[in-house]
Amino acid sequence: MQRSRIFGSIGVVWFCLTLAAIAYATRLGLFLAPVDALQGNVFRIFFYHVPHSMLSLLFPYVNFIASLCYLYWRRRDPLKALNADAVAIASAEVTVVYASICLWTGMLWGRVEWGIWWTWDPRLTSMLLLWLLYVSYLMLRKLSSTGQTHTLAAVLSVFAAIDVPIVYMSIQWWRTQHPAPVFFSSDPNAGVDKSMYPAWFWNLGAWAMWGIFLVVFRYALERRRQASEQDAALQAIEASLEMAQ
Amino acid sequence: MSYLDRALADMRNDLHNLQIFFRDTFHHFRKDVRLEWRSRDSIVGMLFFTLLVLVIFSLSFDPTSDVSRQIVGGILWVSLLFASFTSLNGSWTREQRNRVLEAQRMAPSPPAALFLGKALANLLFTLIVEIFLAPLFIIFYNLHVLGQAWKLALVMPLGTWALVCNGTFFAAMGLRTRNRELLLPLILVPVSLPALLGMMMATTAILTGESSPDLWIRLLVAYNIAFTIVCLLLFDTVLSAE
Amino acid sequence: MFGSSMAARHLLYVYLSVWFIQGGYCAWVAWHWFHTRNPQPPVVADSATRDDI
Repeated sequence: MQRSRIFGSIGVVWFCLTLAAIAYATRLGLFLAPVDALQGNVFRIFFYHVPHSMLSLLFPYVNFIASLCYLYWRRRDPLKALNADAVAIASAEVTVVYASICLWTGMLWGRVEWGIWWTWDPRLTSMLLLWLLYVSYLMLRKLSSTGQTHTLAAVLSVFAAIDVPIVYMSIQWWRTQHPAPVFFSSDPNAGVDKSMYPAWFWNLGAWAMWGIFLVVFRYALERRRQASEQDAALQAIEASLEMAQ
Repeated sequence: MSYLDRALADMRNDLHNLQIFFRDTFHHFRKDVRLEWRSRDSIVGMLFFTLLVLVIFSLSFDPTSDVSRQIVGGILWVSLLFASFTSLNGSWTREQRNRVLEAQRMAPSPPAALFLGKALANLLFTLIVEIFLAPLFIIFYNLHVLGQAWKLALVMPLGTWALVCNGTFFAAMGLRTRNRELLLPLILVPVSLPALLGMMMATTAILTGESSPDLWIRLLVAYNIAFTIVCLLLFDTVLSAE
Repeated sequence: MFGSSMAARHLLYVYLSVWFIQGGYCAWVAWHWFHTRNPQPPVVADSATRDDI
């Protein structure tokens, strides 16, 4: 009980700090960073878009490592395996949230800058495929039968993690052969003026803090659900034992 | 026993296990081919489905010879992909009748042999369908291959294996889910997208002769090697997932 | 305030939708957090819990 209280208070403190960081970063991005010479004010979308896209490439690896741990501990130490599984689903859901935001903000930017909602450029397409992979992971978790969910999801996660670099390479090759309008050039910081650095770093840091908060919160919820299920199962067993007497 | 003796004994053991693995794979392959040959459900179903898709696309777009060379690669692989969903699911439901799958789990043979045998059988069926489809495509789209036609003999099996290998694996994953028919396309398509891109681009490149398919063929080879190894290693986990 | 109205509108949509999506997900997790039973860990039997030893 003591431990969970400590974690709870750390969680609340972290949440408040994160909100403050996001507010400060947003203020920097919207008001204090200077206007971009080429794009005008619409580039301010990048202060939200780029951190989300960078972070959405980080959480899949958390999911991958957690899934590998689950598969390793599955027979050797089931309790640790359940822990790993909770981390896996938390990071998968946060990946989908961040990837969705990355796609949506990217589309809005493209609408203003280029007049088109979508183009099959390498980065957008790879991001779409990443999103599809992790949505399919979540669907598998939803549709599979109870005993198997964790294992099947862990296996799919391994497939998805191996697929991501292959997807990236193949889309790059495809777009080298058939060029299309490029929304985002390879280096997002090309030509970024030093005066904008504070806004970049604060936004990246704030959204990273928020991402960590979400993963840990979702992890705690999943652990609570697991404990609830185990409790219910235990009560059912005890009830059946009592009836047998 | 000396170190050398032990090493030799280990090697003999490994070779023996490998021999058993391939023997079991062959048995599973033969079993699946025999079962399929008796009813020919899968092959006929796939063939007819792909033919229908071919007709529909032809009617909707009414392409000229030039345009059809651009689009046939895509149409071929999309229609094969959709046709394979039912046949892949069907290849595992045959194991569920009479609780054969429980017996497979308990048998001492390596589970990867079951997977490989079944995947090879599915590969054979799909290749047979493709052989029947090829003249139909040529007729309906007035195809005239402008590039190196022999490379198609590389692309077709490589592409088919990419679909069938992952498809057999994911169909096994979906065996006890609700909505099994829905799950297979949902998880197969995102994972196969690079291979699908490779197959379609390679076929289009060969048909139009406008670019070289070599890059795509190399992508397909790399994809196949990577995912065949992963499927073989992880099949045991999936089979005994409870 | 921010120049041409289309850019300004889209900028606003971006910021609002990000807050909406992130906040929405957080609210969903929080709702389930408060609606999931928090089982108390079982009391471990030791000599301190029995007064007849």
